[in-house]
Formats: sequence, structure tokens, C-alpha cells
Amino acid sequence: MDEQERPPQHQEGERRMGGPRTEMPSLEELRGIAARKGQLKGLDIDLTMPEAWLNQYSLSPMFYTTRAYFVFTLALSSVVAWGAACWGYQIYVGMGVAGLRPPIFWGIYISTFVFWVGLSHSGTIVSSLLRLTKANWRRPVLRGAEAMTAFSLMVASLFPLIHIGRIWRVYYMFPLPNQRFLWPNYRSPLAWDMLAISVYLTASMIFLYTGLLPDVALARDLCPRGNWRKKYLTVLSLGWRGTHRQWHVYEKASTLLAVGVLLIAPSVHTIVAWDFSMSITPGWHTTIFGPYFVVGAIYSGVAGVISLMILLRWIFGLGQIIRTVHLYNLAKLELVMAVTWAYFYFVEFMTAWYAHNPVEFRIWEYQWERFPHLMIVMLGGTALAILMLSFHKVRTSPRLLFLITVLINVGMYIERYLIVIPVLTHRDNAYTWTDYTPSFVEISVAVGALAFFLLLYAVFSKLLPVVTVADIREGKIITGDVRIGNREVRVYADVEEPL
Amino acid sequence: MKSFNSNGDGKHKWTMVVDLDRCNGCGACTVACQAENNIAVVGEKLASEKRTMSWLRVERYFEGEWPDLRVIFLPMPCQQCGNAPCEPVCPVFATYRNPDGLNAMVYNRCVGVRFCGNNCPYGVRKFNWFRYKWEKPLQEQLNPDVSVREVGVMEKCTFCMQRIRRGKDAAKDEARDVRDGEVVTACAQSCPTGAIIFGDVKDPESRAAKLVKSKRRFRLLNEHGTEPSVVYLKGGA
Amino acid sequence: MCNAGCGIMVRTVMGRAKKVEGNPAHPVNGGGVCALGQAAVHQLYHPERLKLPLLRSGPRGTNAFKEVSWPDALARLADNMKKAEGGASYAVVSNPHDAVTVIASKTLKKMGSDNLAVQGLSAVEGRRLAAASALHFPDMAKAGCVLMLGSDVFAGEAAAHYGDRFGRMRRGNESKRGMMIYAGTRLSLTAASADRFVAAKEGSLGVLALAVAREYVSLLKGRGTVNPKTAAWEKALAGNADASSKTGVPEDAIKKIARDLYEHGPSAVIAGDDLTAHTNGAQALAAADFLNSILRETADDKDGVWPPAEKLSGYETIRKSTGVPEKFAPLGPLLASAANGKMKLGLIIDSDPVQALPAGLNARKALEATGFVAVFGCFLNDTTRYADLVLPDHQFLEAWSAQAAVTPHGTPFFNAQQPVVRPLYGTMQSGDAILKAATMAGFGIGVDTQEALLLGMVGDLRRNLEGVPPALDGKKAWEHVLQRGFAVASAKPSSAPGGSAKNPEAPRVDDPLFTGLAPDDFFLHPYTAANIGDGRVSNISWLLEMPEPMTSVKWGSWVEINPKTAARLGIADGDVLKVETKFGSAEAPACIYPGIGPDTIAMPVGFGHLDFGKHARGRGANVMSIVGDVEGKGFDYTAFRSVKATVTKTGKRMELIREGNPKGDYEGEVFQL
Repeated sequence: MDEQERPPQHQEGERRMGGPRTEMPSLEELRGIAARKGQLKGLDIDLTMPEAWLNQYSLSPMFYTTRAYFVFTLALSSVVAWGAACWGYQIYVGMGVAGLRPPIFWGIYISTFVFWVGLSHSGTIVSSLLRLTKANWRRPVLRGAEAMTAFSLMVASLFPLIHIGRIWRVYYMFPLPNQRFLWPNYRSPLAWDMLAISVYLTASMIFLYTGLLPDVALARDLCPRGNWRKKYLTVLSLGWRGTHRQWHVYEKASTLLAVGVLLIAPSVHTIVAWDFSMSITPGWHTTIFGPYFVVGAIYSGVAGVISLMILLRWIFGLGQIIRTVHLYNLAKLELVMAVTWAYFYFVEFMTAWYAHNPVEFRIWEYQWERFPHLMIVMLGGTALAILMLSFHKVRTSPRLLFLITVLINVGMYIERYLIVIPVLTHRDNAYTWTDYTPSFVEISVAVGALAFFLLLYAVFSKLLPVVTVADIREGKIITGDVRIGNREVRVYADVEEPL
Repeated sequence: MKSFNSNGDGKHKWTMVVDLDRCNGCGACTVACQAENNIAVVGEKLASEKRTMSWLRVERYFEGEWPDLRVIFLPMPCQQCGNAPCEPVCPVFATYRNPDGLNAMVYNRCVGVRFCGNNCPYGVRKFNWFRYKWEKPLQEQLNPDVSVREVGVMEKCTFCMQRIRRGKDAAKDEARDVRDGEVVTACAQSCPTGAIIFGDVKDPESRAAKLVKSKRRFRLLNEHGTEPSVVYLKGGA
Repeated sequence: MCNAGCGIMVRTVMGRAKKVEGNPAHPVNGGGVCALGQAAVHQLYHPERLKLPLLRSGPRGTNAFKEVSWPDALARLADNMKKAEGGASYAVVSNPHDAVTVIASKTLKKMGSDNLAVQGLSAVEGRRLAAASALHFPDMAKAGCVLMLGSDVFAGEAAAHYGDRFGRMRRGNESKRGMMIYAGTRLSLTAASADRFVAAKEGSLGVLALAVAREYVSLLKGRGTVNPKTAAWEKALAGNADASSKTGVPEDAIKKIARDLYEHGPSAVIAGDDLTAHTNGAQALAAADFLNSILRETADDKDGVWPPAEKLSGYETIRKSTGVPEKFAPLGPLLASAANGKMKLGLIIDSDPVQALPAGLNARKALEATGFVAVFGCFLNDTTRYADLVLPDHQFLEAWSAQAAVTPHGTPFFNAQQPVVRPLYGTMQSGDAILKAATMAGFGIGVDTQEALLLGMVGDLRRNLEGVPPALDGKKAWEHVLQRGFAVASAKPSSAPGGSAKNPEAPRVDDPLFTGLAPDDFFLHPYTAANIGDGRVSNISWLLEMPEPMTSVKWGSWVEINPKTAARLGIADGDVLKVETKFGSAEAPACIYPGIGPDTIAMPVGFGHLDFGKHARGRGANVMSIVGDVEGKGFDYTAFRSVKATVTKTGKRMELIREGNPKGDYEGEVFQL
């Protein structure tokens, strides 16, 4: 460790901020401190940060709201309102306002659905996996990732509703007792899908909420008297006092939940894949789809987490806790996923080629003919991601990482689009071949969904802690710098569970 | 849970035989179907978006170049598959197999997820994208035996279910079996060339039962394992 | 809707017509119904039907009318009938066999005029009216091999009849499959079903018929089939050596046709528009007849390809009893004299000459120059624009009627038709209206209503109809026929030679003449499409939404062009083309169609109405509006393919509405067809 990289002392901040229950410093002050201290490369936590400062710094996004935030959320809300109005129009007039026509019955509603479900994946997978493997760099990432899962799933679960022709009859899909003994058809992948999504949504919400408990309690305690947040924080914290027993139960519960969620997540996306592969449509009917979708989901999800983390750093000035090293580690994970994903591309094309299915060949030809630009962005994007992420310099540059991860998700959206559309427009019966362009309504709804996701996230960041304060503090406690010879080395303590 | 899908264990197995050697592609069947089954006219704009509702279409394929051209007409109704890909994917049992081996469509149960349409390799399922209107007094022509479909539901060829029912009812009233030729679909009835033959293959004396044994028989896309109830007879000498 | 005279039954529920079904016993359609026939119920309930008589209130050409009462309307018509006594009146009908035609013909005769013309009567159909020779009535169903000389019978009138005969020919007899060879200039719907398509140059099919005849005769000789006339035929057919270059059909292909006709016999030739719609049409038709006479004489016709003379001669009796005219006035001279202001009264019955006739006939001018024009029909159309009085007709499902005709395979029949529903509006059957007005004007023909006329017809006819018990009186006999819907004329012993005894004399076929603007112009090939027919039904949305079988285009018209020609001219599918002839120009989107020769363009008729309700008005281009006569030849309107056209791109685009996908059209092999 270089002498220059050593963190400056925190006396100034400590003095000014005092104990936990005093008035909070202004946002400008916090920002100023953060900026003066600069970034620390290679270290996942600054051990010299006083606890109180850490608490307030982490919770600062909750308590400080700028005018830009209101403008931003207002803009998002109007986009969401427009999307909702378009949906209402679609319900009123009929599905025909979408660009669908026989034999293409699924359009960008379904590709957008798959995209959001995919994005939701790595949130929990990353979070639970890192929790279980006790990767120390996980700590600041957890909350953002879990929230991303919950919100993207909420957005995703809207799409089956948006997509169906008679929303007013949606209850036919639920197993409601009725006098005719009509139940949902459990042979249908859509029925599995509905179950899977609802289970996953429930599980990830519980997971998110459990993780939130100590932080909500902390926010409750830090919340100045008379602040309107106090009430709901009090309710939500469920009387968390931070007793030993509470912590013990909390640790156990989150570990168990992590295991559960880790099992649910891949199965959910496999089921989403079955929506396609259980059909007999050439191009969909393939055994590779389960793992293909799961890997794709993690690939896109990790990219989503990286983009979001970088956004949080930029917007809320959380650079002190979401550090370059975290991004760096996430980028390494993303690199692994990108390589795996490229392998799956290869396998998919090879199996299609080896099977010599003429219909799949025609779909492939048609894709290149009709969507060459999309194909280039999609395939080129993955290649570029692998290439770029291989460089240390790229992995440590938030700006480049942001660009790459956004590109990855654009590519993944295209991927989903190309899974759904060409397969349906150019299927077995050549006489019915047709073309599909998403209509204005469909695009509005899809954009509205993106805005809805961002809006949920933005509102969340103002209502609840966006970083895992408790976990960071735990990390800080078990971390120490030890001098071995003339080198200073970072060491981590680990608590073994007594047998 | 009671199974809603029958394995074709009913008394009848309705089958359509389409003799491609006879079919001259005139399209009379498509209009007959439109008249019989209250199929909406969607108009020029929706037709340009390929959203016509016709349950039966005559596909035309070319082979070769001027002047050595070969043309094949292929009337394409719902194939009423014995192993229908549309059935298992419907989450609400809106499409199911009835005891006569037909893929019945319960419009009232349909929620419109349209998976059935995606999973049909023949592309014969149609969706009610809008509420279609019958300009007065055209509604007077509507067939009272066939329901007019609501917006947001799937529809498709039913093998003129209402005619089958009428035929069966008449037979039941007279305490006899349905006679061959008593039940004909609108398309088979109108076909000028007699290319469409409809009948019950469980009746060994029926014309359809004899024709399905023809050496010229083939079924469309049966490599998907769909077991269609529409049997085509190859054209050519 | 059409003149074929198919037997139909209509399913009615609670007094409403629901569905048209074919009468399985009828000799014309044998139980089938074509798309047009199915649409009759749609026409009945068409929202744009006329409900009351209309009197012109604006200038001619505007379709501005005011409603008047029936007595007023009939009084005006009767008034003008009186004024037009003598030869100054004419009538145009669409169906030569129908009862209203009989009424028009009788009334005109009473007024001293024989100017009764039929709109759109093709040469082949015109010949059938006389039913003179069995040679004109080969039965496709019984033939082992038929050579279609440009006859697109599946798309034209009597499509249901030919469909029925075709089905029987192909698979009526499991041991023998009939063969069909189609020679023509465009791959028509009929050609698509043929076992072989032979592409010939425009107007050369007569020459082809003679060339096939020559090869056929030499085959006869070579294989030792003895016929006393062989030598005479050979002599008559000598001097047709350049047939291959004239027709564009290779020598081998001609030989192959002759061989098939010989080997698969009994064989027959069926002639159609491609053959007759040129300036040499009459000669070409004679050439086809000549080939038919050879085929008939040399084949062992135990199945009955050719109707026996006795059967055919039954027609003469029913034609006389019903009063169906044998001959009609030619439209060309008739309209020309009307255009010269010689006509005071024109009755246009269920037809639309302004839209459907070639521009060269100047129907519009003729109507403008006619003193008083009364149009009978269900809708306002291009012709009503020039009418002084529009008399709303019953749709035929509301009407009493009868037709007497011969099927194209030589069975004379009498159709009796009763209303299936109560009239929806205050309309009146055209026959009744004419009879009433004529009686008022003093030209009564002794009956008051069409129904009475029909009763009278059957009274005369009943002993000549098969299956009508002789004991029945006129009324009972009519009811008897009504029950079945039709009766076939009973065969009469006949001494008519049937056209075969004539000395063989091969007709001469001249080169066809064409009118064009430039030497490299395209042959313009107007044709009848299977969905819209001749345009009388182009306001029916069922039919507009039905794809034309060959191009799969719906809701509009198009210009068919060969893919290579299109590539050469840089024309893409959907580019709007300007088709220009000496008579005018029309614009329609290009349809790249593989079934047309590189030097020809084809356009469907029946589109481009100026007025025919919201579905038809301005839809597509009217190809007939750019068709006319050949210079110096006088105009025989049946030669509507003698025009050449220049094609230019307008730069506009109009995507064709297709059922299929032009790229997928060639991918049928996925079905292992």
C-alpha cells in the first residue's frame, strides 16, 4: 500500500457530526467531505471512518432531497402515466393497438417481460451467493441488487397482464374454487410461469425486507424528531433493538433465505424459458433454453447491478462505500458470465446448424436479412464486453463500466426481441410469414415500464436505506490492517458457527 | 382433478379429407366459412395488417419460373390435431379436446394469452384484436347457431360444430346413428370440385373412412407429432 | 349476380336468409357454390341497397337524386315509353337467360324495337345461346384429356359448374384420372390446376389449335387409326408450318399436346377468352371447333364427352316456350346509334355498362345522348350517374324468377326461383316494373306480373320437362318445379347432324392485330378474377376480403408483371404504375407475378368504380376504361385484348394487401407437397 493512498484522518467530519442522535450535517457538507477524501483504490472499506459518520453517510440519500430529484421523479411519473394511459387505451380498444398479427401473437410485451425477469435474476443470486460464500466485498452491493430484483420483478409481472386479451377475465388463471370445478390448466407453461413468478416475487420481497430490518431500525433511530419518515420506519422496523438474540435470529434467517432464494431464482428463469421451449415452434423448441435463459439472466442482471451501483455512486455521492473495488469485482463476475454467455450463443447456433432444421435455418437467414443492425449490436456487444472487461483499466473505470453494462443490457433486450419475434413471424407455414414492428402503444408501455422501474428505485431510495449499513459495519468490525514485515496487509476475521 | 381432455374415445372421429388433385383454388370454401361462422369482415386497413379473421384459407405455392410453373393450392382449416399443440399450452382450458376428437374452443373461458396461436404450426388460429361490427342490416345474416366472438378471444375453425350438433340431434331424435353425408361442414358443402370430403372415420362405410386409406394420403407437418384430423390427398397423376 | 344459373338453396331462420347452399341435383353446379354465390346473402343485407325509386335532381353524371313514389316513377317511365315508340328504345341486360330479359325483349318488341343487348356476353357464351352444335358443349368430366385454349373457366362465370366437372374428371373415377392441358398467355386460376401449362403468344391460340390438329392427324396416320376423313383433314391443315414461331410454343410441346390428346382420349378442347378476345377471335374459335370435330370423330366416346343431339335439341323447346331470345343486338352498333342521339329511351337492367364495357364502346356517351334512361338495380353505380330514373330492384333472393339455358356440358334446363325472404324495402322486381309501365303505356304483353309470366311459361313448358308428371296443370307444374328448383328439358328426337357431317375445311386464322402507342409496348391482358368477377359484386366486403387465388391480393386491383421484366424496369412490388393505352391511362400498384410472360401485363376487371358504394368507389383501376378498338377494324367489343400498353413508374407506392407472403410463396416444400 502506497503512502499516498492512505486515507486522510476523519477528525474534521467526526467533530462536526457528533453522536448519532444530533442534527445531521447538510448534504453539501457530506459531499464535500467525500470529495476531499478522494477514492481509495484496492480497499473495500475505509477503516478510519467513524461509525457515526458511516451511518449518516450511508443514510444520506434518504434524508436529503434536491430539486433535481423532484424534477426527475416528476418526469418519470409522467412517462409512467403515459404508459399506463396507453395500457388503458389498449384495454378499451382491444389488443389490436399492438403491432401483432397472426401468426405472431407475442411481441415486445413478452420480450420485455423476459428482459425484466432476467434482470431480476442476478439481484438475488448475486446477493445470496455472495452472502453464502461470505465474500467480503459484497456488503455495499447487497441492498441495491435485492431492490433491483424486487422492482424489476414487479415491473415484469405487469407484462403478462398487459399482454392478455381480456384482462377483466384474468382471474380464470388463478386457482379459485368455482361451482364448475374449472381450474387452471397445470399442463400449461403459463400456469407454471404464473406460480414461479409469484413465488419468486414473494421470496425476493421477504429477502429484501429481512435484510432491511436493522437498517430501517437505524434509520428510525437517526431520523430527526418530527420527520414524517419516523412513523413508517417505526412500523417497518418491527421493534428492532439490535439485541443479541435479534441479531442471532437475523443471521440465521438471512442465511436460510439466501439458500432458498438461491434455489428459486434459477428455477424461475428456467420456467420462463419453458414458456418457449415447451412449445413446438422451431427455434423455441430446444433443450438448451433452460440454462441459456438462466445464464443470460445472470449476465444481464450483473450488468444491471453494475449500472445501478455506478448510478448510486454518481447520484448520491456514495463513492466512499460503493468503491471501485466493488465494481471491479462485479466486473470480474460479469466477465465470467459474458464468456459463458458467448459459449451458449455458440452452442445454440451449433445445435441449430447440426440439426439441419430448415425452418431454423430460414429464421436465421431472416434475422440477418431483417435485423442486421440488431444482430450486430447483440453479438458485437457481447464480444466487445468480453474484450473490454478483460482489461484491468476498464474494470476500474466506472465510466467505461457503465457504458459497457448498459450496452450489455441493450444487447440482452435485443436478444429477447430476437428470441420472440423472428421465430414467430417466420415459422413453419411459409404462406403465413409476416413482419412485425412494435406499435406506438407497445413502445410506450415498454418505455413506461422502464420509467416505472426507475421511479420505484428513486422512491425507494428516499424512503428506505439504499445501502446495507449493518452489513458494512459488520464488515468494518471484522476487517483490520495488520503490518507483516514492512507491508500492511488487510485481514478479515471470520466467525465460525459453533457446531 | 378431472381431466378436461378426452382421448377421442367418443362415438365419432370427424375427419376432413382434402383432395389436392381436385382442389382448383377457387376460394368458395373461404366465403362459405365466412357466411356460416359469422366471421367478421375486418376491412381494408386491418386486412393490410394481415389481421383477417378467416378460419380457412387457400394457400397457394409456386414452383419454378415462367413458363414452367407448377402451382399447388392447399386449403388450410384448423387441422383438429389428435395431439394438438394448442391444447396443453392454454392456461385456462379454453381450448380442449372433445370426445369426438375435435379441438373445441370455449370463447367464454379464453383470457387471450394467445399461446395457442403461437404453438400452432399451421397458423390457423385467429385473434379478435378489436370489436368487429356488422353494419346494419348485415347483422340479419348472422348465423344464430354460432356465437359472435368478443374482443380479446381466440377463434378458429370448429369443423362446423353447430352442424355436427344438428346432425347428431336429428339422428338422436330418430333413434339412429348419424348417416354418412348427413353432417357436412360449410366448406365441404360448397366446394364445387368436391375436393373437401367430411365424415366420421369411425364409421367404416363412410367416404372419408375409405379415402383416408388412399395411397395418396399425407398429413401436414406431422413430424411435430400433431396427428391432424385433416388428411390431404396428393395431387398429380 | 351472374348468368350461370346454378341451383341454390338458402337456409333461412325466422324469415332471414342465412346461408346459400348448392342444390346437389342441379346439372350446373352439382351441389357446389362459388364464392360469388355465397355472397348473395351479403348482397341481400347490403347496407347500401336502394329503397325507393329515385328521380334525377341534378345534372347527369352526379348521382344526385330525389326519392319519388312508385306510381309517379312508373308513370314517368310509361310516359317515356310512349314517346319512344318505334325503334327508338333499347335495353341492356346482364343475364341473357333470365325472365326479366324475356320481359324486356317482349316489351321492346311490342314497342317496335329489337335493341336488346347483353352486357359482357363473351363469344363462347354467345354461341351457347343458340345451342346449335354439340361441338360447343364438351363435358370435361367425361374426357380423358382436355385442352383448355385460354379458358379460365374456374374464375369466370359458371365457375361452380366447371369446378364440379373438373373434380369429376380428376377423381370421379378412381381408375382413370383425366388430364388437363392449359394453353394461354397467362397462368390463370384454371392453368394453375392444369397438369401442364403451355405459354403461347397473345392472339395465337387459334394457330396453336390448328397446329395441334395437324400433329394429331399425323399421329392418327402414324399409328394406323383409320378414319375416312384423314386425308381430307391433312390436306385442310397443310400450310401451318410456321405455327411454332407464331405461337411461341416449341414444336416438341405442340407434338406432346397432340400425343396426350391422342393417348388419353376421348379428348376435347374448351375455348375461352384468351382465344376469342382478339381480332382473330372468330377464326380462332372456328379453328378450335375444327380441332374438336376431329377429336370427336376419332375418339371412342362411350362415356359421353359430347352431348347427344337429342338431349341438346330439348333446349329449342324450352327456349321457345319461355321466350328467351336466341340472338341479341350487338352492343357496338347499338351504343353507337344511341350516341348519335337516335335513342329516346334506354332501359338498363341489372347491369353497369359504363363501368364494365370497354371505353371504346362509349357507353357513357350513348347514355348521355339517350333521351330518357331508366336504370333497374339494387345499388347506385357508375351507370346510375347517367340515369333519369333509378328503379330499385328486389335482390334476387326476394324475387320470383326463372331461367332457361343450357349448361356448358349440354344439358338444357329450366330454373324456377321463388323468394326466400320477404322484401326488405319498398323495392319492386324489375320485371314487374317494366310490365306495369308498359301496360300503362299501352305496350302490355298480356300479363301483369313476372310471377304470372312464369306461370304461363311453365304452362307451355310442362310437357317438355323431365320429371314433371303430365297430369299436372300449369300452376301445379310450377310448384312441382319450384320444389326441386329446376327441371331438365326432356330429350327430343332430332335429325340435326350436330356439326360433324360438314366437309372438313380448316378455317384460316389471321395474325391478331394490336393497337399500341409504341412498338415495345406490353400486351394488356384484362381478365376476370375469381373473387370480384366482372365487377357486379365489387361492393361486397366478403368478396373484397377474399384473396384473389393466384396473387392472394385483396381489397384492390393491381398490375401483374413478370419478375424479370420488373427487375429490368426497376419496378418493385407495390410501385404504382401508370398503364397507358391509346384510350387512356390507369394507375394501379405493381404485383410481381411469376405466371405472366415477360411481354405482357395483366389487370383484373371489375375495379375502379366511380360510384358503387363506399367499398367499391375509387378502389383500384378500371382496366376496361383503357381498352378500345383496333384501328380500321371497327369495334367488335369481344376483342378486348387487342390493346397494347405502355408502363411507367409514377414514383408513388401502394403496398398490396396480400394474404400470403411473396417470399413464402416458394416455400411449399416444408409440407412435402
